[in-house]
This record gives sequence, C-alpha cells and structure tokens, in this order.
Amino acid sequence: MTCEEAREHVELSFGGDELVDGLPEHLAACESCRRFHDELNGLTGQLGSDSDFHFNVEDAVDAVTAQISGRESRPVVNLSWMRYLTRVAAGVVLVAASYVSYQVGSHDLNGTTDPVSVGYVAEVDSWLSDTTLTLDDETVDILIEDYARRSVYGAGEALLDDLTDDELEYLMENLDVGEIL
Amino acid sequence: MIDEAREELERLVERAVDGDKDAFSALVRQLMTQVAAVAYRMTGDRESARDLAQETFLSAWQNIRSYRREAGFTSWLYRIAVNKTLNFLKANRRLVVSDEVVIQEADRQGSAITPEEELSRRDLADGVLAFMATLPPQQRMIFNLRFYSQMSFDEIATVTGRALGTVKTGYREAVSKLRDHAREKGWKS
Repeated sequence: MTCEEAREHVELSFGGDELVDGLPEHLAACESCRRFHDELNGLTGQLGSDSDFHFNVEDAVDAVTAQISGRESRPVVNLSWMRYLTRVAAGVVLVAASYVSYQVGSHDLNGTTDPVSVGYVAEVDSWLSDTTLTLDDETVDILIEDYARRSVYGAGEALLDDLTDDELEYLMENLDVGEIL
Repeated sequence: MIDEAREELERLVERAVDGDKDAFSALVRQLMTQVAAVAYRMTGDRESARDLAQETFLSAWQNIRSYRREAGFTSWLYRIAVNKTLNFLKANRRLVVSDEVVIQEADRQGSAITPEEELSRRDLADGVLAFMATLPPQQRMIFNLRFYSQMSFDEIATVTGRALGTVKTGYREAVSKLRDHAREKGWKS
C-alpha cells in the first residue's frame, strides 16, 4: 500500500469504518501517515455527535400528529398501464409513419428530398385528411402506381441511384441486373 | 437489541403503510431528532431545522403508500429530508450560523454543566457550524450523513441520488477541508 492509498483509506474511514486490510501495517511502518491518521482521529471529538443535538421532540411530534390527523395518505395510483399505453401508441405512430413514408417514398436513401415526392406527400396528406378515404390495399396500390407515374425516375433507375458502389458491384456479380430492369 | 429495535421499526412502518396514524406518530417520535439534526447541521438554524423535519414527516405520511420496502424506511425518509433541505438551501443561499441557536443549545444542557463547560460547548457548536458553512451543500450533506448519521457510502449514494464514487470523493474532500479548518482555527486534536 502506498502512502497516497493509505491516506485515502484514512480519510474514508474517518468517523466510521474500521481500517481496511493492510492499513494498520502501513501505519505501523510509516510515521508520516500515522501522524496524518492520528491528527484526523483527534478531530472526531471536536465534531460532537447527534446525541449532542437537543431538540424538543414532543412539540414537533405533536405538530406533525395534529397535521396528519386531518389528512389521509395519498392512494397509490398505478400508472404502469399508462407506460405501456404510451409505448403502444408510439409504436403505432412509428409503424404508420414508416408505412406511409415507405409507400410514398418521400426521401431517397441518401436523405435528399425528391421534389416530386414532396408535392406528392402534400397531396396524399390532403387525401388522408379526408375521412372518407380508406387506406385499403387497393388504395395503396393506386397511390404507388400514381407516384411511380409522376416520378422523374424510372423505378429501376431510382433503385440503382440508391445503391452504393459496393452494393452495385455485388449485384452485378450475383444477379442479372439487366433482366431485373 | 439492535435487531429488536429494527424489527419494531419495521412493524411500525408496516402499520403506517396500512394507514395507522398512531404507528406513524410513533415513527415520528423515534426518528424526529435524527432528521432534525441533519437539517440543523445543514442550515445552522433550529427553527428552519424543525420546520424542515416536520415537512419531511408530513410529506412522508402523504406518500407512505408509495414507499417501496427494498430501499429501507430510514433511507427513504432521509431522501425526502435531503431533498427538502437542499431545496431550502438553494432558496436561502447560505448557512445561517446563529449565536442565539448556540446559546439555546447550551441552555438546554442543564444545570449540571459548569459555566466553563458551557462556554466550551458553545465554542465547539459554533466551530462545527462554521466548518459546515465552508462546505458546498452537497458535500455538507455527504459529510453530515456519513459522520453524524453513520450511514454507509452506499446508503448515502441511494439517499442523495449520487454515484458511489462521487460520494466517496465528496467525503474525502470534506475531511481534507476539516483538517485545514482545524489547523487554521487551532482546534486541539
């Protein structure tokens, strides 16, 4: 044990714990640390203790008792279901947003915004605000087809634009890209 | 003996959690001095300490049904006291070292004490409060809980919501400042 470690233990044990293993031996061998320990130990008497604190407990108890006599403790409100509800709601919103985003394709994979998509999203938003519109499979198909028709890209071109060089190279090696397009 | 006292405390807590006001009053009687002592050493003002201790117990009663047993009732109570006291200090900005308080405290010691002893205790109490005033509130709280309330560092971490390492560092710094303060003021070891 170094002197620095010994003094750290002496400070931490001040007023409380017994000395840690190895510290008594160090203190026995090191005069400087022993003086440090003795100096601190001598201060404990100067600080007093809780028993020196005199307090009119009965008055304070009476005051608290008088105040609680008119009050009931608050019932515990079990809000755990609220936590789950919030999570479920967040999940539903996330899935819905992902679904619409995927179907509408307002952003490409590089994070840039396709101007055609922006206008399209606004238009879809206005459709969705119409409560009579139902997003069934048929409607979604119509939306996708309509979007593809308006896009400045051909479907395949847009796909290739979104791929990295490595992904493209992988596809070229493993798939007949021409056939897919 | 200690186990018996602990069991009795647990029984009172169980009854208080079930809404028994007499049991809660018994808890107040048992723990009031400890809680008030912490608040007193933090604020240096007896009236504030009494108010803070009372507020702590009122708050504890109002929320006792949400008390979770794994923390230990005393730790839970101290946590409320710590929050209330630190908020009080934040609002009041400084520790009040009142001569009047020290005199009152000396007066309560009883007639068996000689005037010299009384003076010595008064100086001592004054000195301790003056030392406490040199510590930042969080460090003062850690020192208070460790030295006077004899809590373990783990308990203090739970009560104050601080990391164990932060608590230990805070305590070491406080002890180091105590040593400097004692040298400066010529305290006898």
